Amino acid sequence: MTAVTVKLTVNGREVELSLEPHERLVDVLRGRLGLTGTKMGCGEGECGACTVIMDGQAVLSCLMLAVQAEGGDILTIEGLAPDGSEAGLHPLQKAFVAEAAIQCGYCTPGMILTAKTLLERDPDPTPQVVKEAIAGNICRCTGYDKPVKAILAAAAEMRAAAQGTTAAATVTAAAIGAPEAVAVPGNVSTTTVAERGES
Amino acid sequence: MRTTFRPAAYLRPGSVEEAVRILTEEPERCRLIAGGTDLLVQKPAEAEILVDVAGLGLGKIALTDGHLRVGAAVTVAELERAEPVLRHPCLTILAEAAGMLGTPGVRNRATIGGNLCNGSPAADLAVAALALGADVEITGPHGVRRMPLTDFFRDVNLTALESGEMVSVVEVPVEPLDPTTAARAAGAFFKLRRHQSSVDIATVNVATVLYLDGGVITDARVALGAVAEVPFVSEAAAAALAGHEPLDEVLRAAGAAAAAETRPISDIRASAEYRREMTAVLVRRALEEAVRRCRA
Repeated sequence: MTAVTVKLTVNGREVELSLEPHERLVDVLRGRLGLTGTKMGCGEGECGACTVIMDGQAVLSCLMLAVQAEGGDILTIEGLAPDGSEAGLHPLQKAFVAEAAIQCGYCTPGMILTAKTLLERDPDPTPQVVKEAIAGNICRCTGYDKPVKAILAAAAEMRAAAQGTTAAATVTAAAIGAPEAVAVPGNVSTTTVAERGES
Repeated sequence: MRTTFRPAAYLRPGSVEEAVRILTEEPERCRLIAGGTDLLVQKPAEAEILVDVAGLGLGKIALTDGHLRVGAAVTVAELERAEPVLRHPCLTILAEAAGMLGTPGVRNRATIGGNLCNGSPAADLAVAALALGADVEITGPHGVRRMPLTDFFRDVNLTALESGEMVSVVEVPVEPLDPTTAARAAGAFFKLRRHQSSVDIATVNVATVLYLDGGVITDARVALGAVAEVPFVSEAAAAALAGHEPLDEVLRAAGAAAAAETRPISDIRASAEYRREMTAVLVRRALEEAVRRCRA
């Protein structure tokens, strides 16, 4: 076995790991970095529970070798609200709570991260676009209605925040920007993920 | 005899030439990896050396003098949203096929090269590229050779790639569209799945490109997937169309001719009989859509 040295950024933190070629990204995130918010479902790219964001794109961490993430900028669900406070939650997370869009919760991290990349690409999606975007995130509690509502609600919240039209929206805007800025002061790469969106 | 997926080495060559050199030295032990979305499902135990071809500069889409050149490492999601693809009434079937391949998460990693080289009989991009008359550029130890995609697929999961070779570019001829003439061209891609809104491999997939001039079909290509051991172009369907007006009975006859050329199997997704019947229906519908787009 030839170990491979891999450098990547995870939730704004640079990490260097010595990895064996067969190790999947999902196993490295969960097993080596302790980021168990990323869930392992089917292991074959069918369920979407292991979705993380790499370089602005939702990817399945069970269908990626960790060595392939060299130089990548990865965001897991932990990085979305790194201070762990309720106020610091991302608008999508708040909307999922408010809409009770969670049953067992296993699909939730993947669904939220997939939705984040959708809203970066399309801030005002139709319900159909939302459904298509989360088509690869399977909920076996079969609760799709509420996640769709939550994503649409978060989209509205984020648009309002972007326009700065209401006091409430201003508070939300601070909530979007604050966690990442607090966790990684001066870290350019995390900002880049948020700004770049999907190509 | 190894039984688990435990590659001993992972290599990241910096150029196509270097990748080919590695591949040529150890052809039996190497497996190429780009997106990995098929490889990590198959987990081949014989893969001892993984050669990552995602960083070889093959990730570009370029429209130049009558050709669309798509690098083998272009992702399905990039193809789905590529401007030169979406803008052209024929090329757009590549984007349509890309948008129906797998899930969004798979599409962000899966590549066109991988979709073709796995040799799946149901490969969505293969069917679209066949209808467009694509060639593949193959780089190997003796340099670059070109091959019509129609010659590339040999059997289930078997392509014409020889030891040490890899697909580097997929090239699609693009005919200039002159709006001042009566000549029109358009394509359509249709995919039948067990549940139409679901994420699934095709039960049957069909792509067509149609050329109309003065109300007559001057040329047509119909490609079929998941109904034979390889995706293929139906010559009989094209023959049933050329020189005719796009009337209902003509499009229907082309569908029947295509269905007669299928060699489907029965499996978990559908029976052979159903696949053959649906080929006729999908080909007719795809042709109707292409005609509609020609006239739009």
